[in-house]
Amino acid sequence: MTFDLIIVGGGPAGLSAAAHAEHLGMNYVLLEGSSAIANTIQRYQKGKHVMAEPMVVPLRSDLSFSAGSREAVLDGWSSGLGDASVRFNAEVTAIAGEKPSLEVTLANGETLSAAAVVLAIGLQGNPRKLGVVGEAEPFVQYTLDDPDEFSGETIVVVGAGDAAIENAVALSRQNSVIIVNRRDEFARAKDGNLNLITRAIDDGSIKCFYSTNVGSVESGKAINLNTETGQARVECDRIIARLGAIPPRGFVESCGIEFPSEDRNALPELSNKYESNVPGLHIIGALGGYPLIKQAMNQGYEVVEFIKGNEILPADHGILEAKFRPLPFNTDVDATLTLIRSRAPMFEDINGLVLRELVLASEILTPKRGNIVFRKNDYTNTFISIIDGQVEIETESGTPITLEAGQFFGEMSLLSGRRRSATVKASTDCVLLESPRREIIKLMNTYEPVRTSIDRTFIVRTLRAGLVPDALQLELEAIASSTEQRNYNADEVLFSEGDEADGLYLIRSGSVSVSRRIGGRDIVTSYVAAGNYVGEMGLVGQSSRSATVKATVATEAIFLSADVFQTMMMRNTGLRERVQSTVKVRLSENLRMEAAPEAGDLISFLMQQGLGEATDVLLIDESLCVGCDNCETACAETHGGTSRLDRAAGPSYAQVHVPTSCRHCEDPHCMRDCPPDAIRRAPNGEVYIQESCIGCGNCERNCPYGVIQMAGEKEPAPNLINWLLTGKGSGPGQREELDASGLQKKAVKCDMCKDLSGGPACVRACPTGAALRMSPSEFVNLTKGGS
Amino acid sequence: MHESILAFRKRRYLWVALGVIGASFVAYWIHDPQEPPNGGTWLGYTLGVVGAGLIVWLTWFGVRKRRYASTAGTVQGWLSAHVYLGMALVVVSLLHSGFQYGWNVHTLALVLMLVVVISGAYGVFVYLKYPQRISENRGGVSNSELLMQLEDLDKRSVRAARDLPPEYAEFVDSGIRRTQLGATLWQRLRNDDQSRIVLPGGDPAGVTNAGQEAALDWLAEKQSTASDPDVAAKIGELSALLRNKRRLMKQLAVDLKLQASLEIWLFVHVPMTAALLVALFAHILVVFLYW
Amino acid sequence: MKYLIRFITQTAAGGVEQNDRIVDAPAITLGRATDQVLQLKDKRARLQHARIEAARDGATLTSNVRSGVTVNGRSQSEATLQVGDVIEIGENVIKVIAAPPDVAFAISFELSPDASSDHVVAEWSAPNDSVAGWSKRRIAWTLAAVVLLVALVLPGLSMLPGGVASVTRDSALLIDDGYWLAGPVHNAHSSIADQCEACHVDAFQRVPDEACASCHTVDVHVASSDATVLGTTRCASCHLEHNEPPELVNQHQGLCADCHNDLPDNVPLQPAADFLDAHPDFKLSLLLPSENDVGEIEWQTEHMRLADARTADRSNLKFDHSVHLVEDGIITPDGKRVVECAECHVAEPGGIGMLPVSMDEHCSGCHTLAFDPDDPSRTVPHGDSASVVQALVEYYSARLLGSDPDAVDQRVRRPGQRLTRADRDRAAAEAREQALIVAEDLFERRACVTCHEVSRNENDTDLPWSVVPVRLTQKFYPHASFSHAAHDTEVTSCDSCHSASSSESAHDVLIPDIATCRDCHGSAVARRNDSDQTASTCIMCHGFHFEAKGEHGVTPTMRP
Repeated sequence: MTFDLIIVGGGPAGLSAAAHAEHLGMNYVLLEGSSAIANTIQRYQKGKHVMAEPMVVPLRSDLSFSAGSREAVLDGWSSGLGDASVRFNAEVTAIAGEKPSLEVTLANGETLSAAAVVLAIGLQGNPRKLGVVGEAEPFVQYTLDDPDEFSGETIVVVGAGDAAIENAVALSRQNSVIIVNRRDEFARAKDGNLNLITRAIDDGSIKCFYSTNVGSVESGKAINLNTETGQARVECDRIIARLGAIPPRGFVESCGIEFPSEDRNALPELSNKYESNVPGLHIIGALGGYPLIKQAMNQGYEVVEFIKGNEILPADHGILEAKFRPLPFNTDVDATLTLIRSRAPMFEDINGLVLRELVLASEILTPKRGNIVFRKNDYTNTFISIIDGQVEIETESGTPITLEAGQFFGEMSLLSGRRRSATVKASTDCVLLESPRREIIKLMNTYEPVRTSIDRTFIVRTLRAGLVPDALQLELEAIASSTEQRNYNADEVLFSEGDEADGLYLIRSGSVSVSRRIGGRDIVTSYVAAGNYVGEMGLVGQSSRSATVKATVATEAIFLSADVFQTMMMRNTGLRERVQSTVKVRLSENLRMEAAPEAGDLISFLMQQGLGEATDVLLIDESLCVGCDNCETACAETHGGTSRLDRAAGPSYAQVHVPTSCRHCEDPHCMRDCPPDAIRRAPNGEVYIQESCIGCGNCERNCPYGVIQMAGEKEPAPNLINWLLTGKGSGPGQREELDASGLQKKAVKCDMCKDLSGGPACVRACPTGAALRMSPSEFVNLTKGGS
Repeated sequence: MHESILAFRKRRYLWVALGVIGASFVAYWIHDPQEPPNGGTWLGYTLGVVGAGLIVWLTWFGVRKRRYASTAGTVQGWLSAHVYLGMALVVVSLLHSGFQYGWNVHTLALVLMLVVVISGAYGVFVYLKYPQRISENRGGVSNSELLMQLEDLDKRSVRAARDLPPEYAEFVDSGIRRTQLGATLWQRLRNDDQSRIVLPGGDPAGVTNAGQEAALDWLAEKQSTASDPDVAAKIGELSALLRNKRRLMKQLAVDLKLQASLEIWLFVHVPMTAALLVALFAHILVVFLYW
Repeated sequence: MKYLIRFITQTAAGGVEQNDRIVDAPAITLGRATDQVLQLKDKRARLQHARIEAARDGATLTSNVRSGVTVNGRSQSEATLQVGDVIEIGENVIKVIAAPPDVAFAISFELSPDASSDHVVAEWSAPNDSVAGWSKRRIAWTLAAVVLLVALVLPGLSMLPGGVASVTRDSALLIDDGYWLAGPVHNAHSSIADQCEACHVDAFQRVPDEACASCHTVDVHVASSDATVLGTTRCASCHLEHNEPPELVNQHQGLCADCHNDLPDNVPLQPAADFLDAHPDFKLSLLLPSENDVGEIEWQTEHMRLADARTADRSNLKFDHSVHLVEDGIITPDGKRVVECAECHVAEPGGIGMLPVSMDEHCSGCHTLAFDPDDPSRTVPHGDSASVVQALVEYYSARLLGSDPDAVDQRVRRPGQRLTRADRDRAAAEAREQALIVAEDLFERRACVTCHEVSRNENDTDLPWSVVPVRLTQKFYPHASFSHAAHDTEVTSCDSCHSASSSESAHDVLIPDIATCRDCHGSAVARRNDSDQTASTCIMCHGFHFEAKGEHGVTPTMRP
């Protein structure tokens, strides 16, 4: 059969394309591999709230879409499709040829041809089938909507990935679950999930078959397993196979499409008409780098228009126009984009659409001469590229570093996750592009050049800031290229006292503690945070390490070998002096700490509690705490009834108690993978969770300090006076959880009461003044002060 | 780095309180009523109003403490003021009374007020002294962790008893089941160990096992008469565990006692406040009822 | 570096399940944190509790938790590990097992089965814990209720109409509104002490004057000028009950001093703010004689200062205290003896003032009015001079005309013969002559003249003498509330105030002056500026209420 257009993939993008093709009365077909539309969204938990980001972009599609429950969205689409021609269970195995005739081959061998093909298969790929007899039995399923849907059943979960583990653990609450693992360990799983499953298996709530394959599925509700020891037959009510998906890249490449890099996150090259390097073969949606539903739908619409040969402006055109309006030069969108590209060498070889995406996500700043872009110690972590004009970075040494168009700044905070290390000021009227952290990280993962140039600059600037303010750019870049990055886990030693001094370490992220062996035991003498350097002492005078340096948390350091450093010293007069002065400071510090070793013990204790990576931590003075738990109650009552801190838990040392409460880490573990990007850092450093949380529980698992919990909505608080008098209803901090039927539990954590005037409620509510919040540097100073 | 409620903001509220006290005294000294000093003179009424105001305000602390979103100062500040002005209240109300007492509702109110203030003063004392002792007694381990250690010891002794004749298992089990410490607030205050244990072949109702004495004695006796050396060794292991338990129980007992003392005073302070408020109301009403 | 962790689970049945896991990491980190290689779900484990690091020459365990790790029963923070070693962290038991070839080091991790640990050891008691099942709230409500009942409701019953009060007040058990008393009731009111409503007529109304009037009459009404003084004319605004010490009369100095300190010019009074340092000299009320146009003496009271030169006692009596009060006594009919003041000056019942001194009671003992040495028992009456002469004439007539044998006329005459008229006239004249001689002696030389002014009128032949009438001032300070009794103490005697023994003339006014009082009586605030004098307020001596006339001193009186 021949069509004008074949759309592959029934996700938001594909559906939207189909709907529009239908609308234009084209001769087309939509091929969907599974038996239902939008199965990625089908896989969301029941009742999950689907977001319509980015809000700014208008929807351009024949299908309706607005933020709402998963069900509402799906219903909207299926009704919107009407009698569009959709073929389900039509899995595409190959696409060959190019304009004007592409051959699309289906799993059942049938081939279709079309003038144009739109590839909208997303990144999920199709779920792997069991690949054995009976894989299609009705009680075998490859997705799980709602774990709580089933109870009292015997369920076999096949797979060892995160999906399998999460399903198994969730199901084990109400069912007896057996998990079947092809391997002898859960290697592919995230740490968090790994712990979940091993724990569950240990306490017997889940039974696990290791090194076991599925033999066959009996229609009589049973599964045959080939274990190491032999055969096993398990009768069950349900089989849930989560064998992951076949990543689409292989298939995509087989169609002749090229990717710019080997990085698995890399995106294919596309024209701004979404056409790949294969003429007539278009790519839209997540596969094209647009993970958001609304964008995908818009592209579905647009791509059809393009294929019809109509010139239309992309939906975000208007927004970009608006963004560019303040610019001093011509505001034609495409022209500006090319200008930006040309001005910022770093962006040279990135995909046009990706750049467009980046610009869309970014802000255009036009500070006037003398305006501050950001101040030292601001908690922003955006990345700023100079399109036009000059800015200067203030430095300790006084001589500011001037940056030209094409250069960028803000990479320090970007990498280290710490506050801004310096104030940046526009020295002429400027045009700046301020991009959010995650966009840049995405970019760094896709495009090697972006990563290297950012890393280099980071090194150069750190050297400048700390050691050689007046060194030549070229020289420093040379040095930068000769460095190597070293990563350390918490408690890992960078170098120990007495080692040969082989080089200098710039702390890229994380933090380290410096300790010396005094009177037979290690005494922490100082704490060095990201953006600074250690190991300089060994390089001037002594040739061996005078102290042990240990990572307090997972730390990235940039290693500068001794000889590089020596040459640097030769070239730069004054470096020696500068280093020696720091050395002096360190030495005097050492002496003080020798005098008061217990202070050192206290610091090392606090560091053990992971306070090294904290930005703001709750400390309780046990000599004042009467254990009234008012802090917890206050937290609960100011945050919908759930306390985000556990006072009693957590260790104490020398009357200082570290309760279980968020430390607002420099590089928060919880942010690591948050599907809706709901965990944000406020300008003042508070790490908080937005409403858009979908309750996946990743953050809870990723937080090493156990300060995040999943909480449902609590009953409303009774009137206080009434409660005081009658005791009716639940008292402060004792509110019951509403029965969570239909309600999605969401992750909750300390937000440092950023929305309350007057600061954290826990501290304000402490009747005895035992609770205080402070930053590591504050309490390090305090402990040294000997308080 | 931390500041106690008394030291709060350079003792700001101490000065306020002293101000109130001083003012009252001066006024009382200057004031020269046409009758013996009493609540009915203009100064009497003034001090009365101030006193009543203070009482109501001091009581309001109970509410403010729970107004967690409130930004009207910190709770610590309020408590500091609560303490100092509470003390000032004594002076104000005594001067208000003109040192005239009797068996009447008016003196009743005064007495209740004194009870409340005194209990509060004791509260301040324990709040300042005990937390230190508690954390010293715990040695950096939280109460629940102590309990877990106890649980842990119990589990181990169960494990240890497994390899011994069955009566040991029962012996250990009964010991665990009947371990009792500070079940009620009273017991905590008197920190008495109410544990009991049923000794094999002994009284099925069990014998008192305070400080694990009974159990340890029984084991010692068994150990000395044990013929098989490695049974004796096992018994030794078991009694070692119980000795640990004894130490731990002592520690817990102290902890519970201190904890209890941190709270018990509130059982006087708060209810008496309620009584005081009623008495105060009666006092004021009656004064004007028979004006 | 490759490590092997073998998870061992003891099933309830007693069987053992195990599953191995190979990890590739610099070291096996053990702790509560989720980023640990081996996560210990146990609050006793620190986030990073310990690490096991394998090297060519065997594995070492290090922990930065003091005595946090037990290796083979010995708690330590650093140890080298051999196969078979047992590591314990909290309840977690980790055994070192033989490592398979491709693995550097291997451990087995056992989770012990849950023992029965349902002992009763109190958790940290929740803030809302209860004592013996009584929550603070419950105790509070109970106490509040009790107080409400005892302090308000039960006493309040007495206010109910229908004689409930009589029941409650009489019964010993029931609590009556006596518990509402703010202070003691003055003895004067003891009869109505328990009947609050007697004075507190209506609730929330101050005690009205009518309530007082039901027993007391204030026949002289409080002058309007008081209102300006006090701002009120309510009895109860000054006469306050229920205070300690019970004191009905407002003793307050300000009551007078506030105005008398500084009076408007139209008031002819000297300022008087304080007895000690702002009080005018005393004014006496003296009875003074003066002759009217018909020559009779009239007495009227005049007020004059002690210091005033004119001030003198004009009673017309001749009396010398010093003569009577000589220390070694005076001769009296019954011998020589010392005379006490009290023999003549006797206090009134109640001891406020002194009874008047009278000739008959106090003087006649020594100063007899006998005239005939032969018959000393015969005396003339005291008082009107005419009757004195009359008495004498009668006496001597009887002597001459009487039938007694030794009658004056001894001429011979016939028995039974009666005196002739001529003889009788002669005898009468003789008797009269005799009487006048004696009278003259009495009036002008012996008796009257000692104490009285006697004048002689030659023209009046039959009664030439007249005695100037005497009047003694009874109260020198009639309005001062002064009590002799109150001043009769161990340390005081009459002459500590009255300097009688040195007074030679009856003109002397022996009333003490303010200076004398001030020896003991100090300022109203004497007690405060702790002088040893008696604090003396105005009310001590002066009454407050105004008389219609406008003078001080009338106090309310009880109705009969």
